[in-house]
Amino acid sequence: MTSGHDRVVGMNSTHPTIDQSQLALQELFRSQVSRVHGFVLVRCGSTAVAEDVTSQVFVEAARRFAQGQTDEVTPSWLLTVARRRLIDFWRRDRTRSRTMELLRTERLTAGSNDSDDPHEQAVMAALSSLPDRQRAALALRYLDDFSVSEVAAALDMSYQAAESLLARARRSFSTAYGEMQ
Amino acid sequence: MTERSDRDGEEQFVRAALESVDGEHLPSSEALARMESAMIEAYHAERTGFGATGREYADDDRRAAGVGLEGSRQRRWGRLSLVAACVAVAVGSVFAFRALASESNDPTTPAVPAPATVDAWCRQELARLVATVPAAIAEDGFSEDVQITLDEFSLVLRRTDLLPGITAEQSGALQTEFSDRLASVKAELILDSESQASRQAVAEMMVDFGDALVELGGSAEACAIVDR
Repeated sequence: MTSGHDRVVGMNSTHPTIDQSQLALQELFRSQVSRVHGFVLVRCGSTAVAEDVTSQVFVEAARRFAQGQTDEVTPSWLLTVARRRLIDFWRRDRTRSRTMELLRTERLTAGSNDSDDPHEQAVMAALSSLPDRQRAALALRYLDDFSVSEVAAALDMSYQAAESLLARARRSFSTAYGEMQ
Repeated sequence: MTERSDRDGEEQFVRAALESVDGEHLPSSEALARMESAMIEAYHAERTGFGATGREYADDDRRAAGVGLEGSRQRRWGRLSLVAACVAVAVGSVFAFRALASESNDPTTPAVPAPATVDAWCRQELARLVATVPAAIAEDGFSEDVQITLDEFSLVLRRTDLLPGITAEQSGALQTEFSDRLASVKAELILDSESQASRQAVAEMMVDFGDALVELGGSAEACAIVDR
């Protein structure tokens, strides 16, 4: 079988020149990647997921740049795409419990951030202790200012179920935060 | 009244707590390099037409934006390339684990994965992928389940450093092999566009994958599915 990898190398060598658009894209990446990654990380609590989602966001940005739609790609556009990808992830999350089990070890440690502030560390640890759906609900409601109806639609559940989930999430978070202090 | 104020207080506390940690966070330098590389690859792929594997994602965005799709031809090829990508994930993991196994025989490489754990895990994951993806495609076409399986396998690959005996470097090698194989599939498909050769390339990958699975001791049932 022909090696596709060789072909890829050959193809890439035909367009090594860096144009202005690519330079602008790379500049955008360098200036916004920590913002997008931080946005995703605090919402999902897993460095692996955060890296995947962040990468997807900038791949989408790259496609827009390649199509000449550079004006569309603003910092808020990046966060909107990131949020949409996270919602996709949370919806799928119900069927990927095995993977989540694998990630659990990492999740428990990834929740802590680089801060020396005990309050921030406690918040991150409390967030990390929540089940994924509770964490998703809290993030959408209190970080992204979604209404309860919007949370319900995003997580594909009824209004009542979303209200109940939020109530449980708030209680769990408060309890966990108290224990971390 | 008290219950209401309790809830309001709890909401305010949670909101303030979350907002206090919502900020920038730089990924690791390795992750940054991977992300930038994927971004640049996507940029060139889109500019030169070598971006078929990503077409389904692009369609999703156009749909979300209310813009019309580009037509059934593109969707058909996007679907085929994603099928191929599923195969590539499996093929890539086989090659990567083979690489790990060969490294373990090299006296100059000190880190040796725990063969029993990795081998069993690898076989189980491969068999599951082979059993799940072709059957799902045959039944529903490119369904969300197929995408989930692909995403899930990618995540599992990424976190192989959590397994006993696998180092971060070896896990990184898995990721690189994975990316390379995906790129190979893109190249195979787009070079030949809708030609018979392209279909042949995908078929050959399926056969390779089946052979590799047999070597690893994959189940006969899973291999039979690949052969169909």
